[in-house]
Amino acid sequence: MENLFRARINAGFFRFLIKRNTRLMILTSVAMIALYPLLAFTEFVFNGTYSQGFFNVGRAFQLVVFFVSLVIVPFVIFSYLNSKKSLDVYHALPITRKDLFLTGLIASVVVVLIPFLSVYGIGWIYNAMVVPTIDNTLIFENLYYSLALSMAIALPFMFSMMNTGTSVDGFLYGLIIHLIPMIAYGTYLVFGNTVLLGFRAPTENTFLLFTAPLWTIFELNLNRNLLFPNPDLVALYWFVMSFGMAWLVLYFYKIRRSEKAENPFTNNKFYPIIVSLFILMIQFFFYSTFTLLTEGSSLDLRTLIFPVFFTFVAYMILDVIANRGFKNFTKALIKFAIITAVSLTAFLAATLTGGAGYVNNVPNPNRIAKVEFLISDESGLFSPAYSSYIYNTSKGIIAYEDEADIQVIVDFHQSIIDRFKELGISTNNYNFYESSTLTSSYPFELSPWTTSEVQLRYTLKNGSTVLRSYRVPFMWTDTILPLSVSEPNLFNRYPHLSHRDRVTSIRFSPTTLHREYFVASDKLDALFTTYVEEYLQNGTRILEGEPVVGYIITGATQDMNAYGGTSIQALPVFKSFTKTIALLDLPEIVIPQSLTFELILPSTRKNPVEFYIQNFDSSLRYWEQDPNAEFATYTLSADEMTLLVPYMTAHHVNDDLVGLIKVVPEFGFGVERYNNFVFYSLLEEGRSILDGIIAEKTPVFKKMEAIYFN
Amino acid sequence: MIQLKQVSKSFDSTLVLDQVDWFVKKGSVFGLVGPNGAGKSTILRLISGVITPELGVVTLDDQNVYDNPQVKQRILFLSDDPFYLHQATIGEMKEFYKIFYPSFNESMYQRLLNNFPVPTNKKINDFSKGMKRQVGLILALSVNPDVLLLDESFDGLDPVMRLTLKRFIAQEMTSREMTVVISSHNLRELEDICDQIALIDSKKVVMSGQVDSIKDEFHKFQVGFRDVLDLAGFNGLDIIHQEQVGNVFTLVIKGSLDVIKAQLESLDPALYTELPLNLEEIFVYEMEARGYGKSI
Repeated sequence: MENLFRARINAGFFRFLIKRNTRLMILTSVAMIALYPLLAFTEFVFNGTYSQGFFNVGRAFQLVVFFVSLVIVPFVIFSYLNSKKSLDVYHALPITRKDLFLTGLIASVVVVLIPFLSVYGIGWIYNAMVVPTIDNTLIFENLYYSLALSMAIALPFMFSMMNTGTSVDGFLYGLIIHLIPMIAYGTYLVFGNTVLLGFRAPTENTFLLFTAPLWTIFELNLNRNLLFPNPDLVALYWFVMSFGMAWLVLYFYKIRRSEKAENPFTNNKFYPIIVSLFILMIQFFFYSTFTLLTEGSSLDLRTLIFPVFFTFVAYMILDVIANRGFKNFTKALIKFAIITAVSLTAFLAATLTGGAGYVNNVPNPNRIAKVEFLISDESGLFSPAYSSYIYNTSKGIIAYEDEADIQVIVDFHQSIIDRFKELGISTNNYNFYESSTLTSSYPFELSPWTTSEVQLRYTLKNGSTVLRSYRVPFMWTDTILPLSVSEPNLFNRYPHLSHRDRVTSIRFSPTTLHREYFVASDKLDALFTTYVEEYLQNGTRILEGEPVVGYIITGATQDMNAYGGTSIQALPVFKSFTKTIALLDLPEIVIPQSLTFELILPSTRKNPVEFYIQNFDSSLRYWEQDPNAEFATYTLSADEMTLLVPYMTAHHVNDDLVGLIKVVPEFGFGVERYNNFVFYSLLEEGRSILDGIIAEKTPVFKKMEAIYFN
Repeated sequence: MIQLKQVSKSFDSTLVLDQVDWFVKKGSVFGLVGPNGAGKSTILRLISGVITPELGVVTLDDQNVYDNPQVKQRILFLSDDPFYLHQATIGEMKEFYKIFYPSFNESMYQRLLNNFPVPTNKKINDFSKGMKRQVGLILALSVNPDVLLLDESFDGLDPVMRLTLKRFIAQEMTSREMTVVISSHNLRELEDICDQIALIDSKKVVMSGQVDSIKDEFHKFQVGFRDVLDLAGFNGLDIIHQEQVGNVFTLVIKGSLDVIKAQLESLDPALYTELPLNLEEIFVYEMEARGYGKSI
């Protein structure tokens, strides 16, 4: 680094270079100005109006021109490196190599920046003049990111230039250097997702943001939702990194062997290192991808044929480019064989060891500082309400720090691994829903509605994190469900409970087919406090599938700085919540005699759970593999319905439900009233009453489609 | 002045120079000769600081040359195929050299331009090979270097230009003791201009010294005998070339003239003539003696 900072710009040579490249700067300026703002002006000429969209598109393409010129200009300025004749002149000049390098580097930057900054400035002023609603923050953020990353984009190409002897090789391997982190990360993701059971990638592409400037420039400029890591700091990181990269390029510039100019490579180690790494990763990537074809067996002929042949062709093409012919063919063949042997060995080792223990690794509870976990399924027991994203800064995910809770989670995690082991599944490489091992183990069809997505994030005491993700059948989550009966989880699912000051309306919608009615707002505090108390007391019953008697529906203002508007929350009131029900002062159930209802039962009892899963938050879900399956339907009178009402629920997950009852919307509740029909589930407890009701009735067999849409 | 101490240089696995020791005195005009690929250009590139040796040092007045701008300001290297910036005129190239060489002499430049009719408004890359070399020499001489390194720079020039340039160089040498190192295959030309000469072969400087003293060391004789001669009579002579037609021998012998003459006369030759020997012949015979080109 000292070398870099001790280098001095040769002012005379710098001026000379700028003067020599004036035409190039003019050309770049014209290309840029045609995009921003002239593109938008063209629209004005045709339509008489300006749209910010045209400015944005033009500015985006102007940034592309900027990055292209960042790559091209150093090749122009340092073109002397690729000719022995010119090197004899340049390196005989009375200037140190580091000064010559720095002067060329700074001149390259200035030759690119002068047109870019001038045109960007002109474009912005013009844009602001004609479109008053211009997003200045975005424009200056884009400018900052682009400038901060400019050197990081150009320097890998320059690094390649310092190790190669021709411009074509310099460009080709510069591009490969840029691609290597992206291929590495892609390989990591594909390998993890196909081979490693429980693999979960970090949600943020932090790795690429700190290793791949080409990726980062697009991510920073296009992804406005990037919260972590801070985009401004990422840009700053690359700016600082540029100095390190410049130092590295300078080092290779200084040791670059002038006599090897015009040869493909000036550094004999460069090609083997870069290309071997590149081919190794591509092979690993394809092995992982093609294991998808093998359903469990990580390596067989199908996994190997394409990866080996494809990379062989790629390697040979690169070798022919590098050696300018086939003279090195036999050597290349041997080298390729070695690379392939290495990649196969590494892939096999990684697979057979379960990613060096990744698959079986459950952190020791003593080492865990906290665990965040999320179980996404139709029960919604751990799913944070949408509005909790707005109210909370924790993204709605609860962190468990209590030792006992951590132990429960760790045991749960271990039980998942053990169950997969019992089923003989050790990789992610199987189709979950079609896996014969899994489907034969359960009496119901596996589907997104009968399974849970489990995501775990351990933060260890040493600061590191362990991420895992599994899709498991519902019943595997039994042991973890009690954790849902906690105040934080309750508040997370129903954020109005902890943001009572925002609640503007309160009503109650019973599941007993009555119209909803308003609750006095002064009851809110007592109602919520009692509700929380009863929920925590009756947690076990709730999990066992206690019927819901209705929903406390509240409307609350959201944070105006976020999305504004009102959030609606439906709080289920269970049968055992007697104090809450008393506070609500519910009227007696009266079902109008004029109405009839439709009872829907499966035509066979072999697979009773298929369509009885629903909850309020997500509305009714119906899934049936066989579209021709028929259901037995019965018409029920108001009196019969009155008998069944205590055993009906609209918020439930249970294996033991009996059937559905289709209700006209006028007597539904909440958002369901906007559907054509509302379906309620009938609990097992009501089976004897139901059997009595339908004993004398004749069923009408209908397909689900007819039931749902008619 | 210029010194190479134990200099070794290789390109990949090929050793080009092996522990070369060589010294060039200030104000001398040194001719560098040797077969193709002997390492003449490599020596010039080492002296100019374009490349660095793996072993040993290259100095100018005891200062290392490589990456040393103060020293390199005093040296100008003109390669066998001069480079000019893309689309540049001679005026632009002058500006380029002026940036790096404060010693650039504008009046010398004008003087040279007057002597060498080079179009100043045309792009150099459109010039003929000879014209390009003229431009290179104009710029090189205008830089006013203490050390001028010319790599086969006279090749391609017409005889008049060659002579004019030689005069310029001679003037510079006498007026300010400019040191010139010229590599060339044209030994007749080197003989005209150089006062010293070095022969590079087998990765080393195998011969180096004053042109006259080198010439004094080699002698060519034609001797004929009446009877068949016992070749043992030549024993003790360092014969580097020998031709025989009947009983007549043409010999190129290295060593003291008096000693050689005495030995040849002692063999009582019927024909005995000393023939003139120029530098080119010395080079050819010496290289033949070293096995270069002998098999053809």
